[in-house]
Amino acid sequence: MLARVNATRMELLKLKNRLKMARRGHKLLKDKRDELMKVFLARVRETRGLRQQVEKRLEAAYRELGLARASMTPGSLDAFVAVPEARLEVAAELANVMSVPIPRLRVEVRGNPHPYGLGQTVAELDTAIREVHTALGSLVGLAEAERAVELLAEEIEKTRRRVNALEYVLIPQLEAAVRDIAMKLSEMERSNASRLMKIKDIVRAR
Amino acid sequence: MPEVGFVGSRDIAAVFRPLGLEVAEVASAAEAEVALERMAGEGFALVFLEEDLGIELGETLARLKQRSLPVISLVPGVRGSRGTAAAAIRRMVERAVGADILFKGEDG
Repeated sequence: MLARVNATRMELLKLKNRLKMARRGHKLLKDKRDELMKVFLARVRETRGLRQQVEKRLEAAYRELGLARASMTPGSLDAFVAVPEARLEVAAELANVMSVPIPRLRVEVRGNPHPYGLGQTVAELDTAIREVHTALGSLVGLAEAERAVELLAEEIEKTRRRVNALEYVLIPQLEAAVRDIAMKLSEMERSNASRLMKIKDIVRAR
Repeated sequence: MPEVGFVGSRDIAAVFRPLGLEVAEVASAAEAEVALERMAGEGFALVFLEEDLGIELGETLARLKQRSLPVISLVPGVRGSRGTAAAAIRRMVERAVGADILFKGEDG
């Protein structure tokens, strides 16, 4: 499709400029992809450690909660925690990583996270809640990191497609077109030269 | 003011509620979907979703991920982690890198 252009110097110049632009774009996108990949892999490693840590903590908390449930009157535990006294404050903002907007979250528990009389509940409930409370920072960090991994993966895929489109489609096409025109132009030049020589011969023969 | 939510079963809601998260106790995936949609609509910043429900709500989650917030994070259920989130990360790596380079040969 690109190969069918007018074989003029004008066209040749235009195509050469486009080719230059495409090469520059290709290089920039490649750099972007590599940088994204670096950030991406770092975040992936981060999620692995955090995920294991968070899950271990939560499972420990659930165990304690199970014990608490078992040693209290059925249903009473849920009633004790039904009205929270703490508020979870969260600040969310979008951070720009290589033009990918990635949410950043920070949370803080304000108030008393144990909204019940200590006399009426068992210690395991305190432990369970405290466990989740201390894990909360990691939990939020994990949520953030996993989301970042998702967003970065999408962007990397997009960028890689663009890089490939430039590298394997657009740039070769432009190169072919430039070569084509250059060849046609020199062919025209040669035919012109031979025509001139021929005319010269005819004129001389008179 | 954005908030943090929790969507999951009654079994584990008791450890999240006292910390000030808005808790939606749900008994089925359908109920969880409604709760998630509501929280997303109300501009929550972060929602923790019980893993077992997340497995059933793949489509809803994919749809909600089109928006930048809320961030939805899977937490293990009372029976422990099923490794869904870790598997999702592995898929992401495959998608981005084009090959499974980090987890090859490890934990399935």
